[in-house]
Amino acid sequence: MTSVIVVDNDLAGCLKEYGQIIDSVNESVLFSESLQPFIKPYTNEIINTSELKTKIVESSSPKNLAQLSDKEFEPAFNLIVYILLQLEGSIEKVVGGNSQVVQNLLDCNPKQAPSLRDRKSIKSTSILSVLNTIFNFIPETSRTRITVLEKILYIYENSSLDFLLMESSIGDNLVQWLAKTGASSDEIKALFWKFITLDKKASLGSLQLIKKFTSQYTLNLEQLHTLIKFALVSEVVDVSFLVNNNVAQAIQANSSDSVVQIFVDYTSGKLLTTVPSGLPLEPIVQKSKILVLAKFLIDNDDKLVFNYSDFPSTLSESPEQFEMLVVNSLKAGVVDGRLSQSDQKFYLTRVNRLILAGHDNSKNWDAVRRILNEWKNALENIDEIVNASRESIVNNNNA
Amino acid sequence: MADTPSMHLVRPTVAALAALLASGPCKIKVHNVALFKILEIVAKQVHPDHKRVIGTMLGYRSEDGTEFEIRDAFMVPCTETGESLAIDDQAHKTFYKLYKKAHPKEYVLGWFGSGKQIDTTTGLIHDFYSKGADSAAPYPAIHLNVDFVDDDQNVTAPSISTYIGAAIGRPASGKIGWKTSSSLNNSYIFTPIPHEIITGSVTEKLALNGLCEAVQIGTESGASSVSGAAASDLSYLSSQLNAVSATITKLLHHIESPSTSDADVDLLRLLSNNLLTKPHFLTDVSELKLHFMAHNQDVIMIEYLTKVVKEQIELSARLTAGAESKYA
Repeated sequence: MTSVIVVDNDLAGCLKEYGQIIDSVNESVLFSESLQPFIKPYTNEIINTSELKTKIVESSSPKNLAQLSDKEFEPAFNLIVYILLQLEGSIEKVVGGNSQVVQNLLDCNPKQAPSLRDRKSIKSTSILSVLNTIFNFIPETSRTRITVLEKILYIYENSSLDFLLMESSIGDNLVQWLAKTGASSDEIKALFWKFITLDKKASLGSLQLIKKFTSQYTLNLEQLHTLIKFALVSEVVDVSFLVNNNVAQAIQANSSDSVVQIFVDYTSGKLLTTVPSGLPLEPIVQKSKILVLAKFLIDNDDKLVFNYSDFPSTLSESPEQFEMLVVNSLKAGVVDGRLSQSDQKFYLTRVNRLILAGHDNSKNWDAVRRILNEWKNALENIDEIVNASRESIVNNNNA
Repeated sequence: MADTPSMHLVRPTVAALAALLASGPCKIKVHNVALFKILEIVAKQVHPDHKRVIGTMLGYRSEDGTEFEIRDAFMVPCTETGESLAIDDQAHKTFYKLYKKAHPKEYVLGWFGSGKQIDTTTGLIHDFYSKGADSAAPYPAIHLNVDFVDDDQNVTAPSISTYIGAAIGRPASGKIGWKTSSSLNNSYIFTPIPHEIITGSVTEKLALNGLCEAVQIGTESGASSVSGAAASDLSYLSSQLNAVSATITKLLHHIESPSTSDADVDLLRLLSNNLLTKPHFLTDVSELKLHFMAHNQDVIMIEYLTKVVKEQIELSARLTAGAESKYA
């Protein structure tokens, strides 16, 4: 499914229309007049196309287009692309390489976000929309798509747009698009990690994208560092799902690295005292405490009711602090349970098991098999029991 | 290799007057009833002539014009002769007025067609649904295309694509600039936007399953009515228990010799996180009762606190109003 242009006008008509747009900006008729020599009278045939192309490209400068309102900008730029497409014959020639038209488009991106009251100035979303349309025009096997994707990321990088706007729309398809263009594995990796680092909030959605990506592609130390820093600054506490086989291999290969060691400690439920440079200490230590609590509950698997005093003193200095930690654990979805403040007890219902790839998980598999067998046995004959109980109730009532 | 999905970051600028400048993507939801109706209409066209069939799509749209919910559709007769196209405007208006009587809050969202490719005729039809009375105006119209023939004109599984008509060139109002012309064109860039098919709610699905099951039992027993099937009211419980049991057996068989693949590690994580801790009060009725009462106490306390806060706010509002009227 690609974009399709339907223009109810011939090329000469489009040129006249474009001439009027530029003239409206400059409040003159000079540009329209300068286009006249390129259109043969009566036949409307276009002549001297190479000079015309140069003229159209020159006129698409930010000096002209940035004066249009936001609502006028995108249709006008679409018209430029259409005219150049007709003159060049291929969209790749129009936007590929160091295309001046694309550069002009990027230069129209506002340096700072316009105020909410400003409904006229060109917004970054309009620039993105044009790039989006161009991307859909390009054949999916063309490498020009990579260039356009890079430009889209550039716009995000240089504007205050929310990452959510492209998290799933680009994230879900990025690898597929790049693979179709014949991009090399290194190119795919470079563009993916560039894309993911644009998410300053390190959301769960981005973590899921990383998980999906790393299950297909291996990581070098630099990429592993990016993953680790991203996981640590994220609000998501239990990031054990990120450790798949490729990540586990990268961790094993770089086990002596200090940043990797910190991540290993974090995911295995050890209390962190230091964090990688450039990351905030306090929030990460708080996250680490939640995993230490989870690890303590896993290690004491035979118990389901805990007194406050049972928990390690490193977790909290007072009952209030401990209660806050439990509340945060509940909010993070790492632990489920119930606090009884009056009895100072914690009743455990469920805890995340911190399962990591590359570890011996046979004990967990055995436990799961045992529980499933118990469940299966418990389900047998339930309908017969219910039926018998119902009949006995009916018989008792009839008696 | 199958086609890759198209990109859709934000709704493109459209010519429609009431369409606010969008800062997010578009979403189209197609109800299965509407889709079945569209497919039925398209399927009835004469093949292999591949006569153009079009129709109107109806439903809800969000105020900013980025979310559409297609709930129904009807066919609109059209005749295509060479490059000219005649749409039966009266039929469209009559059907729409009838529909509006039963569904006053639903509107024309756009149109569906079965064209093999998007061409200038598509632009003309889109223009019909974008401008004038009883159309999607002043909001943008959407287009749903059903492609059901391959390049060799063989019938294939229908493929659904949805588009919005992005503006190109000067806006239709003709107000741009100081030099205007009356020769405004009807040009569009048909930009693909994602859609999702909505099936019924859980209740509808349960009812449908129940009916199907009842019909099946009725057919097997030779009964002419389906009411007899509902008599054994434990059949649903039994079937669900059997289904769960079968799933567990299948799962146990799968994890008999698990691999170290990512998929199996994910499965282990999911099962371990949800199954390995079993609260003992599930099998201890007295303790369960204790926890239930404690939970009730918590709920009552939250309700009490909510009420207190609400009354405090109301009291504060009354006092403020009283003070204002006193000193006004």
